[in-house]
Amino acid sequence: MLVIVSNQFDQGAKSLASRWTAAGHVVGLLTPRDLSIAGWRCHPCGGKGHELAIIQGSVIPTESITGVFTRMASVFESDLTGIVAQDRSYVAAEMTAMLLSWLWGLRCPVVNRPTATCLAGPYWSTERWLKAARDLHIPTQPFQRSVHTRASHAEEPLPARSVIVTVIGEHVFGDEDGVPALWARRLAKAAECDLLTLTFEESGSSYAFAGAHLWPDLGDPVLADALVAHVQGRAQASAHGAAQ
Amino acid sequence: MILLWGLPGDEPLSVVFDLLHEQDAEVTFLDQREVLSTEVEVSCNRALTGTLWARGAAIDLSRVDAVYLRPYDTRRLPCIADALSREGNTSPAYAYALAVEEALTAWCEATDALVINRPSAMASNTSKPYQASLIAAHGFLVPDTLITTDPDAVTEFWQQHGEIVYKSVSGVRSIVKKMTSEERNRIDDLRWCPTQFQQFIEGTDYRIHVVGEDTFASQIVSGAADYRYARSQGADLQITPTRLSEDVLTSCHRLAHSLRLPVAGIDLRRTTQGAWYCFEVNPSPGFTFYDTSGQQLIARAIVRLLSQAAVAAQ
Repeated sequence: MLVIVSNQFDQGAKSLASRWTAAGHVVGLLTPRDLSIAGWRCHPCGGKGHELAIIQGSVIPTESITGVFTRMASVFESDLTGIVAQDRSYVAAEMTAMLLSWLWGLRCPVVNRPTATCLAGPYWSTERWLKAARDLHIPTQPFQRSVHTRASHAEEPLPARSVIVTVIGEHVFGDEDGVPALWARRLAKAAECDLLTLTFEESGSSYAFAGAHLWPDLGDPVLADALVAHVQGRAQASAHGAAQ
Repeated sequence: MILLWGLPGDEPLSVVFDLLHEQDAEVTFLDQREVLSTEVEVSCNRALTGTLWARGAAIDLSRVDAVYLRPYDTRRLPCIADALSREGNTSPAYAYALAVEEALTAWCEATDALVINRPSAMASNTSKPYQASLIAAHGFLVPDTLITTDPDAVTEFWQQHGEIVYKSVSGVRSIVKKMTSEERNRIDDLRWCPTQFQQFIEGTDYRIHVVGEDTFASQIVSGAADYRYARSQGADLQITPTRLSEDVLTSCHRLAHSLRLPVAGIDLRRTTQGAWYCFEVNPSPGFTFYDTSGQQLIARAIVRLLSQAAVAAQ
């Protein structure tokens, strides 16, 4: 089973699950609601015991999960309509912490691998992405963040001519053969991301990196299909490796 | 320049500030309570630069060589708690405070200055079992753990280990408690939220503070299941500096280093059989609670680390 982890009201995740199901995959949607159902059994740190998960309300053995795509940064209080209001903040923190540990410990491919700051990968600020690019000698677009009492804070708007590319595994979509594709692969590798959307500013024949995020437009069927192929491919490769 | 960020009443921060002041170090204290009059600009061009305005003074962030940060939950600052109670989560004051925090955090993550500790490194502590998996990879034993929403699973785990404790999964502070028959009556509530249970490990507690290359070990003797709350529970508590084997200290040092924490408080328990269990790595340790030497040894080590970074940058 392929599992998509998402917030409760994420229509994009539901559409993706439908698309992958229509293509013949067995897909389950795991939302915070599943974390309020009896049946979870997790033994982190290599503990012994049968592991069980709840996916779309049903108990399944964790070992039957062949791949995971995480589409949420954390559990939000707004996901927890079934929890009394005064407990939502605590429960959201507990569920996020549990999911981080669970996703981290899974043996199947998890896209993106969670980090301590975000369930869906490295949740870096623009400043941190630009530093990563500078460290790789990739030209960067100037960026300024201002927080002043006299005006609301706002990040710099994107330049008019920008190239947006999405890395999925080894493939780059949006500008397959150009310089941005090359830099995008290097940045995704440095950030240990299987899935990443990056923006480059184009000026004449040169480019400068402007930023990146973990939330590609998976309403785009090309990206949606490439993602499932990537997760399946990694699952098959890891099953093959385990069999040997 | 050395920048401290947090609350003046925070003991670890204020002790470090006083020691830096005694040494005539160039130090700036960013008082978190003044968040609503604090302004920040962070710029990335060929390098990371920025300016911080607080108490009417401008601080050039390019001149900051070392940072020691212990900010508290923004929502609990009096000025923000007040705004939240009046206006809810859409409070402009709350939004402004978050923007200041976000800008400073972004700068802390991207600067080449020494940061004790970078927020992303501290985040491993937001999930205890996640951090435990990193700890286990460094050779320490970790207690057998179950995270569950299943009452039957808890009963089985309890029977398997005889004595078990429960505590929060996240970094939200909770009192570690032993499971008793009283809790059994509430066990059906588990289904609402995954809960963490661990085998109870009998033994002696130690807190090891890693500060750069230095380590400071304290032995803790208490009758409470969670010694941090011993005094409030009327239990005894004794903290004494101690010496531990080089092997244990080296493992602690490696663990802190691998978690990218120049300063860390590591909670260990030694069983009567001599096995070492690690429960947690605290990325923002309240070290003054443990430093019973009367000589502020841990604070002085932090000051040394900050000062060395400042000197090295010049």
